[in-house]
Amino acid sequence: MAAPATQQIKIRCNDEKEFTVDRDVLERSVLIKNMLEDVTEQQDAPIPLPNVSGPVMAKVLEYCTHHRGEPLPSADTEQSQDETRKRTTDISEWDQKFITVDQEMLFEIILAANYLDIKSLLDVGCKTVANMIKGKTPEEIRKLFNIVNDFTPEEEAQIKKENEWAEDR
Amino acid sequence: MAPAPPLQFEDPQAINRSQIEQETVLLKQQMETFRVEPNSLLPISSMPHEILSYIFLLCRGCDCSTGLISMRDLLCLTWVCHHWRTVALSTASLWAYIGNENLRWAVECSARAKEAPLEGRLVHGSTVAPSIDVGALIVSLMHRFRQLYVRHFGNLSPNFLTQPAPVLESLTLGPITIQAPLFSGISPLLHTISLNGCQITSWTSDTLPFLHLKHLSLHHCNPVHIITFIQCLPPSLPNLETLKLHSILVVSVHLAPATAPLPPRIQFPNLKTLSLHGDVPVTTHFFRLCNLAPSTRTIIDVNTNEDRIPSGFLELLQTSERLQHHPIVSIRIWHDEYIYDEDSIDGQIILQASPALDGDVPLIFILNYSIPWSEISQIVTGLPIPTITSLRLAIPGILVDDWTKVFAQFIHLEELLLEDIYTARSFICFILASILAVQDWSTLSPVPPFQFLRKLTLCKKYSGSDSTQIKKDLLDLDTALKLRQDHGLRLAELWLPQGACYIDLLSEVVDQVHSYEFR
Repeated sequence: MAAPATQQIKIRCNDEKEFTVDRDVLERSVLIKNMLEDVTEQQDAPIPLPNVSGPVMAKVLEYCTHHRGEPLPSADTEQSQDETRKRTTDISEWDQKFITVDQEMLFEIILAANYLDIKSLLDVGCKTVANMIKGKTPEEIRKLFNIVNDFTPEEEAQIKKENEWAEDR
Repeated sequence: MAPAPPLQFEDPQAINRSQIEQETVLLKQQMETFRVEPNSLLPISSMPHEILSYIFLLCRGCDCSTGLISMRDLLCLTWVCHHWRTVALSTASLWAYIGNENLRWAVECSARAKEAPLEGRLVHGSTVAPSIDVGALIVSLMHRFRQLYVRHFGNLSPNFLTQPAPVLESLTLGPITIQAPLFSGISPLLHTISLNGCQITSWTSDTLPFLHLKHLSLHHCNPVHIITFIQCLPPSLPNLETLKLHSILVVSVHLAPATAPLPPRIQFPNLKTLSLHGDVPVTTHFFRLCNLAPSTRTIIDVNTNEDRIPSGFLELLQTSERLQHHPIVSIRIWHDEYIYDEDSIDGQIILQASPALDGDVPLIFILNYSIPWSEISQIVTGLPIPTITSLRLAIPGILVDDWTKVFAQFIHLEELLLEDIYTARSFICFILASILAVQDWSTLSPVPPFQFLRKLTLCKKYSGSDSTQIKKDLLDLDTALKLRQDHGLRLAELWLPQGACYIDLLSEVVDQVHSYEFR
């Protein structure tokens, strides 16, 4: 007997770009999963995603397609895994390659993962940023993200004094 | 009639000065805005507060080798710009860590942590400046610790162990003398205790809050203490999921004769993992006094301190109903003088279960080959281990009369790694005969073929330049593999010592090897 055909779902991004995607791929997003569960009848109208652009959604779908079928974190496991997740910033080889994008896209992906509620993708994005930050001096961090030092000289002197203990151990 | 107010004449110069001052203030404000404005336009500034906060928590991480958290990284976060400083300082859990690295600023960190429960990790007291009173510090913060790890603090006063610990969930200590009762009996959330080399001379149910414990590990403790501990356990530990009793001292323990009346067995209804590591008396005594749930995964590491397995222990393994009914049992038996080394496993048998079967605890069965094979064989054939899927063998020179009986247990093998394929030729022949279902191979009886085998790894430590022998071995192997190919086996790996000549040999004689690696 042939396997039942996977249901196809249409989504529309904020730039009118539309995607038609297998339901199980889209359901990596808890937001969309809940939306689909709330809809009892099959609808042909695309699901609007006003906070995500087409190019970013394309990347998100690439991630969801690669990780389709993997178990989604349950509420029970999520809490217990929280501490572990904070302990490690390891990223799998595929995810690392996937997330090697320019900064603008990286932060867009993080925002999209947050909006769509895709915890694992949010983790990959945040860990990538954390890895970029770790081990760098404040000046190196500013340079990395083009951040302007907006402290006044007085404030900076105060912070330096406050942080002296770290240098003094 | 009221006098008319004096006429006021505006001073044009004063007006100009005032205007200029106002304009200067405005310009300064605009300049400041322009200076700071770019930050709000940056991609990273699009991160909501809570995501930036989460990224900072990930930055905190920890140095896995030492367990110490990099406070320098944390402080850098407060020094990048106003926004980052605000986020970092408002992320209370970012500062909820007290360790060697920030002991001098522990008060400041605990203040920044606000109401967040603290994590304490203090190791190697000798590295801490003598001016810091670590004992007093821990006492003062004990009510705030959620996790506390104190190791190798030789002169630390154990007073903190009598302080109430209302939010403590996990405690790791050692070596230290435990005073009873722990935390004056106030530790309602404590579910994990790990004690390493601790002196606990008065084990009682009051000493440790047993009833709420989920995970208990006693490492490097005197076996006498562990046995005393077993005897003092409450009748039931309903919440305990993991119990590890690891002793390293070799002592002679006098046990009551087996005929003596025993107290009612201690119940562990929810125990998922039991790990016993140490001398035979500890293991024996445990099984005499305790009842396990049928689903408990049991790991037994036994130091025999002899060249043979004690007969009582062998009997215990083979007749114990508790062991027989466990779906997964892991047993390691080693000689006192033998130190297990991954790179030197000659003389051992290691059976390892599929990770899918056993999660994070591999099923391992190691036997020192100085133990007579007859005893090894008895154990292998006597244990309920029907689902072993991975087998690793290194058994130079062992002669076995009846491999069939031994390996009839392993028909579910998916991975087979054989070390030293030269000195154990008869054995290799047997394995290959089994794989190939060959009926007549060196007069060895066949066992059912390993139908599920998908990976065969052969390792050989050749010495010198005995290329003739190597070639012969490889030809044998090649023949076997070609035969097996007809039966569906496609994968094989071959490890050989580094040397250019072997590459030629390989290409000449083995064209079925899926991959090979030079070591």
